[in-house]
Amino acid sequence: MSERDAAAEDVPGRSEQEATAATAGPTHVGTGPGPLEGGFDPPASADVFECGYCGRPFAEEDLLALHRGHAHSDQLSEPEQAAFEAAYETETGEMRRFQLKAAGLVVLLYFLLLMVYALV
Amino acid sequence: MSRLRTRLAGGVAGLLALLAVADPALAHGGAVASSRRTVTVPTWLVLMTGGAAVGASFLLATFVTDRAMVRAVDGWRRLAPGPGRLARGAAKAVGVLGLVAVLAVAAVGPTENNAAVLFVWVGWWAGYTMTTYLVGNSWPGVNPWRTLAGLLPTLDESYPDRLGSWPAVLALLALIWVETVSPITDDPRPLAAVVVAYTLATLAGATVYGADTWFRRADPMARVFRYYGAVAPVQRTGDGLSLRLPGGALSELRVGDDSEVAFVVALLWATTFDGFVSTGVWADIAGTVRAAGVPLAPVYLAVLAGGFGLFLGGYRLSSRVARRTGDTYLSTATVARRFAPSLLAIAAGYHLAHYLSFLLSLAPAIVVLAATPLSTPPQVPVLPLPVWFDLVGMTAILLGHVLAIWVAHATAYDLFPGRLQAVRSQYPFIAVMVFYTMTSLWLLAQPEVTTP
Ligand SMILES: [Zn+2]
Repeated sequence: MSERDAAAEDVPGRSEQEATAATAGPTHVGTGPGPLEGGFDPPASADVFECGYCGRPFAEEDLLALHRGHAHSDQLSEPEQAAFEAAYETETGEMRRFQLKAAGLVVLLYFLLLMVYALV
Repeated sequence: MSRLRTRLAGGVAGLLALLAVADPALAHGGAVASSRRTVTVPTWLVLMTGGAAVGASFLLATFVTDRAMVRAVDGWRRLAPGPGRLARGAAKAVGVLGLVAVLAVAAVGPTENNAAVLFVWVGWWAGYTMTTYLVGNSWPGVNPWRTLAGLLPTLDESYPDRLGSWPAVLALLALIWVETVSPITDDPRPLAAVVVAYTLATLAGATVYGADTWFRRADPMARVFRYYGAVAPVQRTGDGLSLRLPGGALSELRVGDDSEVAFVVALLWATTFDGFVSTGVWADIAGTVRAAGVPLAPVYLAVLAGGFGLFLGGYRLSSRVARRTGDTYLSTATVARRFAPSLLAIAAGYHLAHYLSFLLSLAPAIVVLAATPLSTPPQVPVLPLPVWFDLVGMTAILLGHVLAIWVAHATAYDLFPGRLQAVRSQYPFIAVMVFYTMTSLWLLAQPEVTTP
């Protein structure tokens, strides 16, 4: 299954979760609707990208686009939807590169330890 | 549905992979433990392996990027009916009778090998606490002080909100201090006095502010078990019990303010402190201090308070760094609150590592002493544990950390819209976890000594 499909399927899964979340507690501050609870503290000097739906501040345009796509998927305008998809695509690429490095690091750790054990 | 199942299967496979990585470390740890006396593998290598296993678990967790799956794992549950009236009544009776029996035996029983002392420290503080995170938190049902408070009238004063949960934090640290400096861990009379003092304070608080408010906010023990209970698979819900994956319910634990974060940190520090003051390193320090003519009780207090400050400061600092690595405008306090539940998995793992051999080796003694609580038996049996048993403790520490990594991962995915952002936000916490793994493995590897 591609990451794209995963994103598309994210929606029903999430809303179901949120139905229980409303009573159970998690706030989904970053991705989904939930009480703001004054949990933000944006620096005065930096750029702030504010969500037009819920007012949450983000440090980058791409993060705002991702937030809108995850949290307000049923209300998005055409350009917002396009921005979400573009941001998601970019992020998928970055994530792949990161995972490649992570896998390399795990293998490296493993062999380093093996060598140390062989020497000690 | 079948897709979800495939994903769950993938998730389980992923978790198994995490364990597989942790596994070589355990095997080696075992080799070390069994040969600790002859020293073939040095302690630093065990620490390094443990740290590497935790770091590798984090790297592997970054492969789980599907938000729906992360939520499905934490949200998995099976419902079961709750305990009936009879069971609830029995639990209350057991709690109150237990308290009365402890007080009576501690007050009039023998001063050597007293059954009440053993019951409180081995049975309750080690054994019962384990059931709260391994099975489920039954304390609200058993808590004898709650039952007694229910019989008293209440003034229902409104609890001063600005105090938050700080009274509970202070009370927990105070109890730990009393436990380490006073003879209550082997002398029954002072133990009885402490239990009476705790009973009076608790009943007074519950009378003034109402039992619900008191046990929810100010009482330290109720909170210890509630927090440990959030790690457990069996959870109480509005209409019965629900079975969750271990740690699954941590995503729903609300750590509401700074004082509750402080309590989580205090809980982790309490067990660590208990481990630290029984090491040879501490025995040397304490010996020197006493030789210099300084009374030890304030020194213990200073180390307890200082270490707590260090732990809390370190956690706050990690939250501040996480705010930067995660490129988010969430406040430091919010980040600290949201990641705090993951620390509870670590605290539970370390509690198990620290107390399991203590519990098992003294379990036969409890049985023998409980049979004849008012007379001193000629001999108290102790179960000898095989040397490889140290391996179980190391496993517990690593499993606690692996669970914490998963909880932190799920939290980050809940908090942040970006997947890479969620991963980066965890960097400082993972660094702290690697450091803490090594610290707790070191503490565990120290032979226990009797300190002044
Ligand atoms: Zn929004």
